[in-house]
Amino acid sequence: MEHLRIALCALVLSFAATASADDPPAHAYTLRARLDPALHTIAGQGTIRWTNQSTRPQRELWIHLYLNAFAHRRTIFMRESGGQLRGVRFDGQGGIRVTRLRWGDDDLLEGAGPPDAPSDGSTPPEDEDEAAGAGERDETEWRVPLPRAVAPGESIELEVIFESRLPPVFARSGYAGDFHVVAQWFPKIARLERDGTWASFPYHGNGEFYADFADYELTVETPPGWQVGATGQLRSHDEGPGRTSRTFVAENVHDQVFVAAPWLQELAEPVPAGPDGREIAVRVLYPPGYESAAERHLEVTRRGLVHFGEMLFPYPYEQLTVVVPPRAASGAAGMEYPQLFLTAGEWFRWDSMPMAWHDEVTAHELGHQWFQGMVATHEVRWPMLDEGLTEWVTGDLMREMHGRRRSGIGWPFDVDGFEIRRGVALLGDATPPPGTPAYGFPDGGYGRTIYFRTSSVLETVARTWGRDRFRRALGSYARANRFGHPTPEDLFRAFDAEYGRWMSQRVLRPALMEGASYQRSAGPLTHEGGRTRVTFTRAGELPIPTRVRLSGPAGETEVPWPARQRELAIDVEGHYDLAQADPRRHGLVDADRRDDVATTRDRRGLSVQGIWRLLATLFGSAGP
Amino acid sequence: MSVDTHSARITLPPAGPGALAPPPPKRGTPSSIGTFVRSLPITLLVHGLGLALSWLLATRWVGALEAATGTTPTPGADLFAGGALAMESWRAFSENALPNLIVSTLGMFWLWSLSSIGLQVLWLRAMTLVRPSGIVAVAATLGRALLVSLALVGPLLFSLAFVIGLPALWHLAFRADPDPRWHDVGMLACLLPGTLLFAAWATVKDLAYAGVVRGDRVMLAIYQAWRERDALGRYLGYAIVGLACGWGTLWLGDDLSTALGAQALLLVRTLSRAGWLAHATVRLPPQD
Repeated sequence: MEHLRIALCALVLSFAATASADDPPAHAYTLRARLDPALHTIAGQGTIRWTNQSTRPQRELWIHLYLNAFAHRRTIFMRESGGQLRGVRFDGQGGIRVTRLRWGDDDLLEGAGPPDAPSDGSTPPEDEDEAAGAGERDETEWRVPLPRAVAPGESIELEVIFESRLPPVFARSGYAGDFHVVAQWFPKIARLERDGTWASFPYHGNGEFYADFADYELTVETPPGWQVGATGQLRSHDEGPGRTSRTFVAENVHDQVFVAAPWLQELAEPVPAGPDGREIAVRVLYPPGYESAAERHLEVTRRGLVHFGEMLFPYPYEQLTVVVPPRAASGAAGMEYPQLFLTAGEWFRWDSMPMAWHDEVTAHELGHQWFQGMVATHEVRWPMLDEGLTEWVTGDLMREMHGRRRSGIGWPFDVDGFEIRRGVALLGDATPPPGTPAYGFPDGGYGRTIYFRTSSVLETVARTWGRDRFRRALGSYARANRFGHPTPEDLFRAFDAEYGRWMSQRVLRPALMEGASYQRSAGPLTHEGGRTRVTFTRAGELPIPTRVRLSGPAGETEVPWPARQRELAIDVEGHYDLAQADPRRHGLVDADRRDDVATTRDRRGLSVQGIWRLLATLFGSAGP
Repeated sequence: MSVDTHSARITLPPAGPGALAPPPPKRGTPSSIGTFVRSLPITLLVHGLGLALSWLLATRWVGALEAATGTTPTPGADLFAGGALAMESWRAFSENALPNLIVSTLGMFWLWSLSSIGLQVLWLRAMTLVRPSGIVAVAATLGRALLVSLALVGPLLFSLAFVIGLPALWHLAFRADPDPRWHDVGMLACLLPGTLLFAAWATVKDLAYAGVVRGDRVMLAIYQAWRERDALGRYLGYAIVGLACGWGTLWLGDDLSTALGAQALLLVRTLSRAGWLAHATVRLPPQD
């Protein structure tokens, strides 16, 4: 009987999948937001259309009320983040209060409330002051019982009224003066997986996105003269007495945000989306004084749209908004939302410092338009598919724009950006592998593992087996999962199609999911009878091929070191006094390169001159 | 003498002691050259001491860095390209050697700053023709120099409070402004008054040292130094030359010619300091 029900549901769903374009969307939010800039509150109301796209009837809904992460110091977000983000600390409460939630005549608020424990099975860090926080629960997710079951394929429409109160911004949502970042601000229904399980989770310190694609219509009311940027296209703009309202419409996005301030400037330009000649209306909204920086953000966005469009798939929407937050709102900087992102950077430019200035953040947040914006992975369960892939495409774009040697820091230092990523990944103690959920880093190390170790693994593959091939594999993964919700298995499948099954079995899965290591080292270099001998050994599980370069009076030559050999014994004619593994530095996963070289050359030490001069100058300045 | 053209009266200069005395000789520049030359041996000694101390520390730093880089023969060659001196080298360095190096460098720095009072007294003595002699007198001079330093701690803190406080106040006032240019330019401008105040403090301190070296009492030396505070311009000139030479060396390369050039610049930096001290010595009014 159960099988029959599932088969019937599948039949219904297959009809739903072939529905015509005139049919209403499966999920839709029609919202109205009235911003009170003095109280920093949003009076919200609207309707939510939700369709049970699973194979099972549903007797409950799970709703995310993520602004409640800022309600008090004992929320899961606060405990996991320590009440700070990038050094900016929690400094005032925020939250969301739902006053009406109805399905027809039924009041759904009766019986609705937060679960006793996080629905994703995560264990929040200990609350050091449990007694003081009695009664303070995490209310970032609610379970809402339904008066009757919603059948597979059936749609329901909810009526909702709520008030959102923004905190002083320290982590993504909030306000700084009259600059408002209104994100995670409305009740949003969690994603229901096809098998009928809810993929709900509380607002974690390191993860917030995983939702169904939906159509959004948002009307924002602000005081007159205010500038607003939002997810979606501006469909109407009305100047009323004492209020200005704008309506934004976005189709097929999984979230909607808006940003508002009275002094935001605008730089708008149509930007080619790719080879098809279609243009995207890009707006850069920025504080006064940031004119030159806005030009740079626009330039990076222009380059990125083309680069990512060619490698992954063309950006399909018609508009994109880039917001440069003021300094006081640095906690909101570097955040991605569908069709809108907040970048970072100063008002003055330093274009040769891509990783330290404007380029990197803009490229990264733009990359997120694909990796979770349109390839909508579960950010909490598989953060590497979100931040890790985005970090790699960021580095790839920086490499395209600045060249490999200057992709991190340019003249006069010339630092390869992926070497910086590798370096950061090596900082600190060992961490779990990149395939760990976002809440699996109670001792820290989330950023260097998820962003930097993942991107170092991926860049090793790109450098070792060819960048074009890597881009093809990543592109096919992105295209196959466009507006989908893939898992690591989908990523591995795409790479296996390009490289063969060994890629996932022996490289990607061990490196990303199991934390496999790779370590090569050189033995002593010896000379005898006009011959040079040296042995290299490889430890760890990852079979990464490389080369060994020999140089010396006999000239220079290279010896391949195939992946299948754990040991490479070199015995060649001629006198070579230096043998170096991986001379082109393709392997970014080798945890210690200091033993990659064998030599009989005199050690050409570091010059004392530079350090001496620095100290002499310091001592001279403080001297008699 | 001046002539009143309306009444055609002739006004004579006032009579009295000194009325016909010649104007006081212009102090400073003419005799400071001789003073400067006279002090060259000790100038070179101070220079050499500073360099030796720096060299000692620099070799310790470099030795520790090399030890952290493993077997590679060219540890500095591709520092930023992820070469041997990349993160793993830095980790080994920071875990094994860095704490001790920081302690020893800061300790040396502190000792050097402390001994600089004595060295400056010796330096100024070499420039001053008329000065108390004998070990007891030298010790007394050093004691008076220390008292000058103590007496000037208050003004030093006051000037440092300006250096830090004024930009801090500006920051608090303008940090929320969405246009950051006003904030940033203002912060830079706010550094100027405090820096000038600090330079004025340093000018008075050096002049007061010069006073006690020639035998003035502490308060008199400070008083006279304060009266000569318009030497600030000269002090700034020498200081800017010295700082430009010192920090300019950091931009030079490591080959032999630039290394020699760097040493020459460092010497110019010391000579510039000597030039100012020589000026301070002759700048003071004659003793009663």
